Amino acid sequence: MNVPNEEGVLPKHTEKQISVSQSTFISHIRPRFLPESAINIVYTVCLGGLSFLSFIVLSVTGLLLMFHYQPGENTAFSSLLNLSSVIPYGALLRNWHYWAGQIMVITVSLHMVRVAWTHSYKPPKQLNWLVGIGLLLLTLIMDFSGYLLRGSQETGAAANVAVHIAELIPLVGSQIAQILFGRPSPLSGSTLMAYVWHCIGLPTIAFWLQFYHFWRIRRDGGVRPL
Amino acid sequence: MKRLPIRMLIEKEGIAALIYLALSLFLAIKVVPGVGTSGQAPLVGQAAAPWIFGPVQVLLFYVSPWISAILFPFLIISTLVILP
Amino acid sequence: MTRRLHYTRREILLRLSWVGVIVAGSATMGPLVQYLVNDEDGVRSSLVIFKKQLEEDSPWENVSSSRVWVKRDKAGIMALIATCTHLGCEVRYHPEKKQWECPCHGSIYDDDGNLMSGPAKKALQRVAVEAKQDGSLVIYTNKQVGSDERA
Repeated sequence: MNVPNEEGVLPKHTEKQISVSQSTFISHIRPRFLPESAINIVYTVCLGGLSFLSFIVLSVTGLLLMFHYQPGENTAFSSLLNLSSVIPYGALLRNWHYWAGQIMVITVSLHMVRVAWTHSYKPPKQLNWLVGIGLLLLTLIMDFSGYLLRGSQETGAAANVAVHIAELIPLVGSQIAQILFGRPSPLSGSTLMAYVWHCIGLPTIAFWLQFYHFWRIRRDGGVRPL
Repeated sequence: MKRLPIRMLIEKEGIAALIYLALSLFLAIKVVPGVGTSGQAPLVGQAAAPWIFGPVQVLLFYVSPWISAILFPFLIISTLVILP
Repeated sequence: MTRRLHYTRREILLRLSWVGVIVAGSATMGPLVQYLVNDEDGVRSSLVIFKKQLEEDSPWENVSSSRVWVKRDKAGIMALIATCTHLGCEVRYHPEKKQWECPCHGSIYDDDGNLMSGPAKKALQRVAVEAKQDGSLVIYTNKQVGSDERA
Protein backbone atom coordinates (compact mmCIF):
# COMPACT_ATOMS: atom_id res chain seq x y z
CA MET A 1 0.00 0.00 0.00
CA ASN A 2 1.39 3.38 -0.89
CA VAL A 3 0.81 4.92 2.51
CA PRO A 4 3.45 6.10 4.91
CA ASN A 5 3.86 4.06 8.04
CA GLU A 6 3.85 5.44 11.55
CA GLU A 7 7.06 7.38 11.31
CA GLY A 8 6.11 8.88 8.01
CA VAL A 9 8.48 6.73 6.03
CA LEU A 10 7.30 5.45 2.67
CA PRO A 11 7.90 2.06 1.13
CA LYS A 12 10.95 2.08 -1.09
CA HIS A 13 9.34 2.02 -4.51
CA THR A 14 7.19 5.05 -3.85
CA GLU A 15 10.27 7.07 -2.94
CA LYS A 16 11.34 6.46 -6.52
CA GLN A 17 7.96 7.51 -7.79
CA ILE A 18 8.28 10.72 -5.84
CA SER A 19 11.67 11.49 -7.29
CA VAL A 20 10.30 10.81 -10.77
CA SER A 21 7.47 13.23 -10.23
CA GLN A 22 9.86 15.85 -9.02
CA SER A 23 12.17 15.67 -11.96
CA THR A 24 10.01 15.30 -15.06
CA PHE A 25 7.97 18.21 -16.32
CA ILE A 26 4.75 16.44 -17.16
CA SER A 27 4.33 14.24 -14.13
CA HIS A 28 5.52 16.97 -11.82
CA ILE A 29 2.27 18.70 -11.52
CA ARG A 30 1.18 17.06 -8.33
CA PRO A 31 3.22 15.13 -5.83
CA ARG A 32 1.80 12.02 -4.27
CA PHE A 33 2.38 12.99 -0.70
CA LEU A 34 2.79 16.26 1.12
CA PRO A 35 4.06 17.24 4.54
CA GLU A 36 1.18 18.05 6.81
CA SER A 37 2.20 21.63 7.42
CA ALA A 38 2.14 22.48 3.74
CA ILE A 39 -1.57 21.80 3.62
CA ASN A 40 -2.30 24.14 6.48
CA ILE A 41 -4.64 26.73 5.04
CA VAL A 42 -3.44 29.54 7.23
CA TYR A 43 0.03 29.12 5.80
CA THR A 44 -0.69 29.80 2.14
CA VAL A 45 -4.41 30.71 2.07
CA CYS A 46 -4.33 29.03 -1.33
CA LEU A 47 -3.22 32.36 -2.75
CA GLY A 48 -1.05 30.95 -5.49
CA GLY A 49 -3.68 28.43 -6.48
CA LEU A 50 -6.37 31.09 -6.49
CA SER A 51 -4.25 33.22 -8.77
CA PHE A 52 -4.06 30.34 -11.22
CA LEU A 53 -7.78 29.76 -10.90
CA SER A 54 -8.37 33.45 -11.59
CA PHE A 55 -6.21 33.09 -14.67
CA ILE A 56 -8.33 30.21 -15.92
CA VAL A 57 -11.56 32.10 -15.27
CA LEU A 58 -10.13 35.11 -17.07
CA SER A 59 -9.05 33.02 -20.03
CA VAL A 60 -12.44 31.35 -20.43
CA THR A 61 -14.52 34.51 -19.96
CA GLY A 62 -12.05 36.45 -22.06
CA LEU A 63 -12.30 33.97 -24.90
CA LEU A 64 -16.09 34.17 -24.79
CA LEU A 65 -15.97 37.95 -24.72
CA MET A 66 -13.84 37.93 -27.83
CA PHE A 67 -16.82 36.63 -29.77
CA HIS A 68 -18.72 39.87 -29.37
CA TYR A 69 -16.15 42.56 -28.64
CA GLN A 70 -14.64 44.63 -31.43
CA PRO A 71 -11.48 46.68 -30.81
CA GLY A 72 -10.80 50.00 -32.47
CA GLU A 73 -11.50 53.59 -31.64
CA ASN A 74 -14.98 53.70 -33.14
CA THR A 75 -16.27 50.26 -32.33
CA ALA A 76 -14.82 49.37 -28.93
CA PHE A 77 -17.11 51.35 -26.67
CA SER A 78 -20.26 50.58 -28.62
CA SER A 79 -19.50 46.86 -28.72
CA LEU A 80 -18.90 47.01 -24.99
CA LEU A 81 -22.27 48.66 -24.41
CA ASN A 82 -23.75 46.05 -26.68
CA LEU A 83 -22.24 43.28 -24.61
CA SER A 84 -23.44 44.78 -21.36
CA SER A 85 -27.01 45.35 -22.42
CA VAL A 86 -28.25 43.52 -25.46
CA ILE A 87 -26.37 40.27 -25.65
CA PRO A 88 -27.71 37.58 -23.27
CA TYR A 89 -25.26 36.91 -20.39
CA GLY A 90 -22.86 39.43 -21.92
CA ALA A 91 -23.04 41.63 -18.84
CA LEU A 92 -22.38 38.63 -16.59
CA LEU A 93 -19.33 37.58 -18.59
CA ARG A 94 -17.91 41.07 -18.71
CA ASN A 95 -18.44 41.68 -15.01
CA TRP A 96 -16.99 38.31 -14.10
CA HIS A 97 -13.97 38.98 -16.30
CA TYR A 98 -13.45 42.32 -14.58
CA TRP A 99 -13.79 40.99 -11.03
CA ALA A 100 -11.65 37.92 -11.67
CA GLY A 101 -9.01 40.29 -12.97
CA GLN A 102 -9.11 42.54 -9.93
CA ILE A 103 -9.06 39.54 -7.61
CA MET A 104 -6.11 38.12 -9.52
CA VAL A 105 -4.13 41.33 -9.01
CA ILE A 106 -4.91 41.17 -5.29
CA THR A 107 -4.12 37.48 -4.83
CA VAL A 108 -0.90 37.73 -6.82
CA SER A 109 0.27 40.65 -4.68
CA LEU A 110 -0.73 38.94 -1.43
CA HIS A 111 0.96 35.76 -2.60
CA MET A 112 4.13 37.72 -3.13
CA VAL A 113 3.82 39.20 0.36
CA ARG A 114 3.30 35.72 1.79
CA VAL A 115 6.32 34.32 -0.01
CA ALA A 116 8.45 37.24 1.16
CA TRP A 117 7.14 36.90 4.69
CA THR A 118 7.98 33.23 4.92
CA HIS A 119 11.33 33.74 3.23
CA SER A 120 10.39 31.19 0.59
CA TYR A 121 12.53 32.98 -1.96
CA LYS A 122 15.79 31.96 -0.36
CA PRO A 123 18.14 29.67 -2.30
CA PRO A 124 17.50 27.44 -4.18
CA LYS A 125 14.28 29.25 -5.02
CA GLN A 126 15.64 32.54 -6.27
CA LEU A 127 14.88 31.91 -9.93
CA ASN A 128 11.32 31.05 -9.06
CA TRP A 129 11.01 34.31 -7.19
CA LEU A 130 12.13 36.16 -10.29
CA VAL A 131 9.66 34.20 -12.39
CA GLY A 132 7.04 35.25 -9.89
CA ILE A 133 8.03 38.90 -10.25
CA GLY A 134 7.73 38.50 -13.99
CA LEU A 135 4.26 37.06 -13.55
CA LEU A 136 3.33 39.98 -11.32
CA LEU A 137 4.40 42.44 -14.00
CA LEU A 138 2.51 40.49 -16.65
CA THR A 139 -0.59 40.56 -14.49
CA LEU A 140 -0.34 44.32 -14.04
CA ILE A 141 0.18 44.93 -17.74
CA MET A 142 -2.74 42.71 -18.58
CA ASP A 143 -4.81 44.66 -16.08
CA PHE A 144 -3.87 47.93 -17.74
CA SER A 145 -4.29 46.76 -21.32
CA GLY A 146 -7.63 45.22 -20.49
CA TYR A 147 -8.70 48.52 -18.98
CA LEU A 148 -7.68 50.30 -22.17
CA LEU A 149 -9.90 48.02 -24.21
CA ARG A 150 -13.00 49.67 -22.77
CA GLY A 151 -12.58 52.40 -25.30
CA SER A 152 -13.98 55.15 -23.08
CA GLN A 153 -12.67 58.68 -22.84
CA GLU A 154 -10.81 57.91 -19.65
CA THR A 155 -8.94 55.13 -21.38
CA GLY A 156 -8.06 57.48 -24.22
CA ALA A 157 -6.50 59.85 -21.72
CA ALA A 158 -4.78 57.00 -19.87
CA ALA A 159 -3.38 55.52 -23.09
CA ASN A 160 -2.03 58.87 -24.21
CA VAL A 161 -0.39 59.44 -20.84
CA ALA A 162 1.17 55.98 -21.04
CA VAL A 163 2.39 56.62 -24.58
CA HIS A 164 4.03 59.88 -23.56
CA ILE A 165 5.64 58.26 -20.54
CA ALA A 166 7.03 55.49 -22.71
CA GLU A 167 8.31 58.04 -25.20
CA LEU A 168 10.43 59.53 -22.43
CA ILE A 169 12.75 56.55 -22.68
CA PRO A 170 15.72 57.69 -24.74
CA LEU A 171 16.37 56.30 -28.20
CA VAL A 172 13.72 53.58 -28.33
CA GLY A 173 10.93 55.32 -26.48
CA SER A 174 8.55 56.00 -29.33
CA GLN A 175 9.01 52.53 -30.78
CA ILE A 176 8.28 50.93 -27.43
CA ALA A 177 5.21 53.12 -27.11
CA GLN A 178 4.01 52.10 -30.55
CA ILE A 179 4.58 48.40 -29.90
CA LEU A 180 2.87 48.38 -26.54
CA PHE A 181 -0.03 50.72 -27.09
CA GLY A 182 -0.39 51.38 -30.81
CA ARG A 183 -1.65 54.83 -31.68
CA PRO A 184 -4.54 55.54 -29.35
CA SER A 185 -6.90 58.31 -30.25
CA PRO A 186 -7.54 61.01 -27.66
CA LEU A 187 -10.98 59.59 -27.02
CA SER A 188 -10.32 55.88 -26.92
CA GLY A 189 -7.47 53.75 -25.69
CA SER A 190 -8.61 50.66 -27.56
CA THR A 191 -6.13 49.80 -30.27
CA LEU A 192 -5.35 46.63 -32.12
CA MET A 193 -1.96 46.42 -30.41
CA ALA A 194 -3.47 46.59 -26.94
CA TYR A 195 -6.06 44.01 -28.00
CA VAL A 196 -3.56 41.48 -29.32
CA TRP A 197 -1.25 41.91 -26.33
CA HIS A 198 -4.07 41.58 -23.86
CA CYS A 199 -5.77 38.59 -25.48
CA ILE A 200 -2.96 36.57 -27.02
CA GLY A 201 0.56 37.81 -26.35
CA LEU A 202 0.57 38.33 -22.60
CA PRO A 203 -1.70 35.40 -21.64
CA THR A 204 0.44 32.97 -23.64
CA ILE A 205 3.62 34.13 -21.95
CA ALA A 206 1.90 34.11 -18.57
CA PHE A 207 0.52 30.62 -19.16
CA TRP A 208 3.87 29.05 -19.86
CA LEU A 209 5.59 31.01 -17.11
CA GLN A 210 3.00 29.79 -14.64
CA PHE A 211 3.67 26.18 -15.47
CA TYR A 212 7.37 26.76 -15.18
CA HIS A 213 6.69 28.44 -11.83
CA PHE A 214 4.79 25.37 -10.62
CA TRP A 215 7.42 22.99 -11.86
CA ARG A 216 10.16 24.88 -10.06
CA ILE A 217 8.21 24.63 -6.84
CA ARG A 218 8.03 20.88 -7.16
CA ARG A 219 11.62 20.59 -8.24
CA ASP A 220 12.83 22.59 -5.31
CA GLY A 221 11.02 20.42 -2.81
CA GLY A 222 7.49 21.74 -2.67
CA VAL A 223 5.65 24.35 -0.69
CA ARG A 224 6.87 24.31 2.87
CA PRO A 225 7.61 26.71 5.70
CA LEU A 226 11.17 27.69 6.22
CA MET B 1 6.64 15.20 10.03
CA LYS B 2 3.68 13.26 8.85
CA ARG B 3 3.15 13.06 5.10
CA LEU B 4 -0.41 13.23 3.89
CA PRO B 5 -1.75 12.00 0.54
CA ILE B 6 -2.29 14.60 -2.14
CA ARG B 7 -6.01 13.98 -2.00
CA MET B 8 -6.32 16.09 1.11
CA LEU B 9 -4.69 19.06 -0.57
CA ILE B 10 -6.94 18.68 -3.58
CA GLU B 11 -9.99 18.67 -1.35
CA LYS B 12 -8.92 21.87 0.35
CA GLU B 13 -8.16 23.46 -2.98
CA GLY B 14 -11.55 22.36 -4.25
CA ILE B 15 -13.26 24.10 -1.36
CA ALA B 16 -11.17 27.22 -1.91
CA ALA B 17 -12.03 27.13 -5.61
CA LEU B 18 -15.73 26.84 -4.91
CA ILE B 19 -15.60 29.70 -2.44
CA TYR B 20 -13.69 31.79 -4.97
CA LEU B 21 -16.16 31.03 -7.75
CA ALA B 22 -19.10 31.86 -5.54
CA LEU B 23 -17.49 35.09 -4.39
CA SER B 24 -16.46 36.25 -7.83
CA LEU B 25 -19.85 35.42 -9.34
CA PHE B 26 -21.56 37.25 -6.50
CA LEU B 27 -19.41 40.29 -7.17
CA ALA B 28 -20.06 39.97 -10.89
CA ILE B 29 -23.79 39.98 -10.40
CA LYS B 30 -24.08 42.60 -7.70
CA VAL B 31 -21.36 45.15 -8.34
CA VAL B 32 -21.21 46.36 -11.90
CA PRO B 33 -17.94 47.97 -13.00
CA GLY B 34 -18.55 51.19 -14.90
CA VAL B 35 -17.81 51.55 -18.56
CA GLY B 36 -16.54 55.12 -18.49
CA THR B 37 -17.62 57.95 -20.73
CA SER B 38 -18.35 57.48 -24.41
CA GLY B 39 -16.16 59.22 -26.94
CA GLN B 40 -19.25 60.90 -28.29
CA ALA B 41 -20.24 62.51 -25.01
CA PRO B 42 -18.88 65.91 -23.96
CA LEU B 43 -15.21 65.90 -23.04
CA VAL B 44 -14.44 64.73 -19.54
CA GLY B 45 -10.68 65.18 -19.57
CA GLN B 46 -9.91 62.89 -16.69
CA ALA B 47 -7.20 60.30 -17.03
CA ALA B 48 -7.83 57.30 -14.85
CA ALA B 49 -5.97 54.03 -14.67
CA PRO B 50 -6.89 50.89 -12.69
CA TRP B 51 -6.69 51.43 -8.93
CA ILE B 52 -3.42 49.61 -8.57
CA PHE B 53 -1.70 52.38 -10.51
CA GLY B 54 -3.13 55.00 -8.19
CA PRO B 55 0.12 55.79 -6.37
CA VAL B 56 1.84 56.39 -9.71
CA GLN B 57 -0.91 58.77 -10.74
CA VAL B 58 -0.66 60.72 -7.51
CA LEU B 59 3.10 60.95 -7.90
CA LEU B 60 2.72 62.16 -11.47
CA PHE B 61 0.78 65.05 -10.06
CA TYR B 62 3.58 66.33 -7.89
CA VAL B 63 6.77 65.08 -9.43
CA SER B 64 8.16 64.89 -12.95
CA PRO B 65 7.01 61.95 -15.09
CA TRP B 66 10.54 60.59 -15.29
CA ILE B 67 10.71 60.03 -11.58
CA SER B 68 7.18 58.93 -10.91
CA ALA B 69 6.50 56.65 -13.86
CA ILE B 70 9.85 55.25 -14.80
CA LEU B 71 12.20 55.57 -11.86
CA PHE B 72 9.71 54.78 -9.12
CA PRO B 73 8.42 51.51 -10.62
CA PHE B 74 11.97 50.57 -11.54
CA LEU B 75 13.07 51.09 -7.95
CA ILE B 76 10.24 48.99 -6.62
CA ILE B 77 10.93 46.18 -9.04
CA SER B 78 14.65 46.19 -8.39
CA THR B 79 14.04 46.09 -4.64
CA LEU B 80 11.95 42.99 -5.15
CA VAL B 81 14.51 41.45 -7.43
CA ILE B 82 17.36 42.07 -5.07
CA LEU B 83 15.52 40.53 -2.12
CA PRO B 84 16.95 37.02 -2.46
CA MET C 1 -20.55 -3.59 -5.81
CA THR C 2 -20.76 -3.95 -2.07
CA ARG C 3 -23.26 -1.74 -0.33
CA ARG C 4 -21.99 0.05 2.71
CA LEU C 5 -24.02 1.06 5.69
CA HIS C 6 -21.84 3.92 6.83
CA TYR C 7 -20.58 6.78 4.75
CA THR C 8 -18.44 9.42 6.35
CA ARG C 9 -19.53 13.04 6.32
CA ARG C 10 -16.61 13.80 4.11
CA GLU C 11 -17.68 11.32 1.45
CA ILE C 12 -21.23 12.55 1.37
CA LEU C 13 -20.15 16.16 1.10
CA LEU C 14 -17.76 15.27 -1.68
CA ARG C 15 -20.44 13.48 -3.64
CA LEU C 16 -22.86 16.34 -3.17
CA SER C 17 -20.28 18.83 -4.34
CA TRP C 18 -19.62 16.79 -7.46
CA VAL C 19 -23.34 16.61 -8.16
CA GLY C 20 -23.56 20.36 -7.64
CA VAL C 21 -20.65 21.00 -9.95
CA ILE C 22 -22.11 18.80 -12.69
CA VAL C 23 -25.54 20.39 -12.37
CA ALA C 24 -24.05 23.87 -12.49
CA GLY C 25 -21.92 22.88 -15.45
CA SER C 26 -24.81 21.57 -17.50
CA ALA C 27 -26.90 24.57 -16.55
CA THR C 28 -24.36 26.82 -18.24
CA MET C 29 -24.63 25.04 -21.58
CA GLY C 30 -27.93 26.61 -22.54
CA PRO C 31 -26.93 30.20 -21.72
CA LEU C 32 -23.58 29.62 -23.41
CA VAL C 33 -25.26 28.67 -26.67
CA GLN C 34 -27.58 31.65 -26.38
CA TYR C 35 -24.65 33.96 -25.87
CA LEU C 36 -22.67 32.61 -28.81
CA VAL C 37 -25.56 32.50 -31.25
CA ASN C 38 -26.80 36.02 -30.63
CA ASP C 39 -26.17 38.40 -33.50
CA GLU C 40 -27.57 41.66 -32.20
CA ASP C 41 -24.16 43.23 -32.50
CA GLY C 42 -24.17 43.04 -36.28
CA VAL C 43 -27.71 43.86 -37.31
CA ARG C 44 -28.20 44.56 -40.94
CA SER C 45 -31.32 45.96 -42.46
CA SER C 46 -33.19 43.71 -44.87
CA LEU C 47 -34.38 46.71 -46.88
CA VAL C 48 -32.69 47.83 -50.08
CA ILE C 49 -33.38 51.11 -51.90
CA PHE C 50 -33.20 51.68 -55.66
CA LYS C 51 -33.38 55.22 -56.91
CA LYS C 52 -33.00 55.19 -60.67
CA GLN C 53 -35.85 55.16 -63.11
CA LEU C 54 -36.64 51.89 -64.89
CA GLU C 55 -37.79 51.81 -68.49
CA GLU C 56 -40.30 49.26 -69.56
CA ASP C 57 -38.78 46.00 -70.84
CA SER C 58 -35.23 47.08 -70.06
CA PRO C 59 -32.90 44.32 -68.98
CA TRP C 60 -32.35 43.40 -65.32
CA GLU C 61 -30.56 46.11 -63.38
CA ASN C 62 -28.48 45.52 -60.30
CA VAL C 63 -28.99 47.50 -57.12
CA SER C 64 -25.42 48.38 -56.21
CA SER C 65 -23.68 46.56 -53.33
CA SER C 66 -26.38 43.94 -53.12
CA ARG C 67 -27.62 40.83 -54.82
CA VAL C 68 -30.93 42.47 -55.71
CA TRP C 69 -31.81 42.93 -59.38
CA VAL C 70 -34.87 44.85 -60.55
CA LYS C 71 -36.73 44.97 -63.86
CA ARG C 72 -39.87 46.52 -65.22
CA ASP C 73 -42.08 44.68 -67.66
CA LYS C 74 -45.53 45.46 -69.05
CA ALA C 75 -47.23 44.47 -65.82
CA GLY C 76 -45.01 46.32 -63.41
CA ILE C 77 -41.79 46.11 -61.42
CA MET C 78 -40.26 42.93 -60.03
CA ALA C 79 -37.18 42.18 -57.94
CA LEU C 80 -35.02 39.06 -57.87
CA ILE C 81 -32.26 37.86 -55.55
CA ALA C 82 -29.22 36.64 -57.50
CA THR C 83 -28.42 33.84 -55.08
CA CYS C 84 -28.17 30.34 -56.48
CA THR C 85 -30.74 28.07 -54.85
CA HIS C 86 -28.20 25.22 -54.77
CA LEU C 87 -25.65 26.37 -52.21
CA GLY C 88 -25.86 30.14 -52.24
CA CYS C 89 -23.22 31.47 -54.60
CA GLU C 90 -23.93 34.72 -56.40
CA VAL C 91 -25.21 34.02 -59.91
CA ARG C 92 -24.08 36.18 -62.80
CA TYR C 93 -26.46 37.65 -65.35
CA HIS C 94 -25.46 37.26 -68.98
CA PRO C 95 -27.56 39.82 -70.88
CA GLU C 96 -26.50 38.53 -74.31
CA LYS C 97 -27.73 35.04 -73.53
CA LYS C 98 -30.53 36.25 -71.26
CA GLN C 99 -29.47 33.71 -68.68
CA TRP C 100 -28.32 33.59 -65.09
CA GLU C 101 -25.32 31.33 -64.58
CA CYS C 102 -23.86 30.17 -61.32
CA PRO C 103 -20.02 30.07 -61.36
CA CYS C 104 -19.75 27.54 -58.55
CA HIS C 105 -21.48 24.39 -59.78
CA GLY C 106 -22.93 25.45 -63.13
CA SER C 107 -26.65 25.93 -62.49
CA ILE C 108 -28.37 27.88 -65.25
CA TYR C 109 -31.58 29.91 -64.94
CA ASP C 110 -33.55 31.58 -67.74
CA ASP C 111 -34.29 35.30 -67.94
CA ASP C 112 -37.18 35.08 -65.51
CA GLY C 113 -35.12 33.09 -63.03
CA ASN C 114 -36.71 29.72 -63.73
CA LEU C 115 -34.39 26.75 -63.46
CA MET C 116 -33.00 25.47 -66.76
CA SER C 117 -30.27 23.09 -65.68
CA GLY C 118 -27.79 22.39 -62.96
CA PRO C 119 -27.59 20.92 -59.48
CA ALA C 120 -30.06 23.56 -58.20
CA LYS C 121 -33.64 22.51 -57.71
CA LYS C 122 -35.64 25.72 -57.42
CA ALA C 123 -36.05 28.96 -59.35
CA LEU C 124 -34.32 32.13 -58.28
CA GLN C 125 -36.10 33.86 -55.44
CA ARG C 126 -38.37 36.84 -56.12
CA VAL C 127 -38.92 39.37 -53.39
CA ALA C 128 -41.46 42.10 -52.67
CA VAL C 129 -41.01 45.59 -54.14
CA GLU C 130 -42.79 48.78 -53.25
CA ALA C 131 -42.78 51.93 -55.35
CA LYS C 132 -42.57 55.08 -53.25
CA GLN C 133 -44.14 58.37 -54.18
CA ASP C 134 -40.87 60.01 -55.19
CA GLY C 135 -40.24 57.23 -57.70
CA SER C 136 -37.69 55.26 -55.69
CA LEU C 137 -38.14 51.58 -55.00
CA VAL C 138 -37.95 49.81 -51.66
CA ILE C 139 -37.13 46.10 -51.91
CA TYR C 140 -37.94 43.87 -48.94
CA THR C 141 -35.33 41.15 -49.24
CA ASN C 142 -36.97 39.07 -46.51
CA LYS C 143 -40.38 38.84 -48.13
CA GLN C 144 -40.50 36.18 -50.80
CA VAL C 145 -43.23 36.50 -53.43
CA GLY C 146 -44.37 34.58 -56.48
CA SER C 147 -43.02 35.28 -59.96
CA ASP C 148 -46.29 36.96 -60.92
CA GLU C 149 -46.07 39.72 -58.33
CA ARG C 150 -45.49 43.22 -59.60
CA ALA C 151 -45.21 46.55 -57.91
